[in-house]
Amino acid sequence: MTCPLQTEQSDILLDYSAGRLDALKTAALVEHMDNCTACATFRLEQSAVWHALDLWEPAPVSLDFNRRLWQKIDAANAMAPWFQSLRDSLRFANWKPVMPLTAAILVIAAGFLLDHPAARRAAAGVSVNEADQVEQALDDLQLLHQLDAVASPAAGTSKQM
Amino acid sequence: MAATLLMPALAGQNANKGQPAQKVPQPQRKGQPQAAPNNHPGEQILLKLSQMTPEERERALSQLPPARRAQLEEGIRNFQKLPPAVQARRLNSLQILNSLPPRKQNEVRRSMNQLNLLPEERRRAINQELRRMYVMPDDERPGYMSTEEFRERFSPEEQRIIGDLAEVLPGRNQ
Repeated sequence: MTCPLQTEQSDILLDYSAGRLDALKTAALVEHMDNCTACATFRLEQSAVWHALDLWEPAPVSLDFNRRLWQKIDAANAMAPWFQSLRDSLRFANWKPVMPLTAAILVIAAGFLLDHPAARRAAAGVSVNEADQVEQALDDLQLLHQLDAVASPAAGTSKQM
Repeated sequence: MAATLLMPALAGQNANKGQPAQKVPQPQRKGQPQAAPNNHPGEQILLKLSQMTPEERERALSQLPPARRAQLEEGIRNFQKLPPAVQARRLNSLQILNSLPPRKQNEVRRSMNQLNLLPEERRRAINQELRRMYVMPDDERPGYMSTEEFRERFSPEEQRIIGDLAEVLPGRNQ
């Protein structure tokens, strides 16, 4: 199976993490992930996100919540100037309930961007991981000199890397 | 075809020292579908680095420790010293190697190392055999390797080495 992260088909990994993948594709992907560090890491991160979402529970809402809320809104609209309403709406406490969800979305987005080849291409320098890959390619090229003599007998005497 | 496309680009690298070389197209084996562009990261980055000017490459490698940087730069320089046709052939073989499943890639690497350790006479015999298989259509190779004549001439280990190396033989049009 071709690595879905390298072929920009990370949807299949997201489907797998969400349990939406059929048995056949799941088996193929699991086998691939056993050999692919990048996909295995992606699975771990996704698993952590899903686990966090499973644990998160919204605070219970009281029965008269809506009624009291509208009363407060009406009272505030009647009394407070516009800048005070704005300040209230931007208060940290108001955003607390959505923070776990926001954090989860940020983790998913960061994971996707970090694993996305386009993001890697945009990086200016060569990272240690990329240097390992280049080194592997150079080692392979070095080993492949043995095939020079096969493809071109004349090249068998060429200078080796 | 790949050689035709690659050679002017690779020749440009050697001719214009200090200048960015032309884009090197991806090596491709005749009859095989083109691999996804980011399927072989090491190969892609190596090509990109080899197309840079020495100054650009120094900047690109600046995040690495000095010893590591020097090692990579030397490897790239050595590769650039090879004749363009040899560069193209090796890149073609590297692309084929990288297209194999990871386990198979490791088997091929092991076989290449083992070939190096064989006595000169056996190495020559294997190279001769690979040359014979090189001109053979891909689908005839397995049948040929199962003939009694073939099996009598090579030990099981040598047969395995030949089988592995036949997987990464460069395209015959190189």
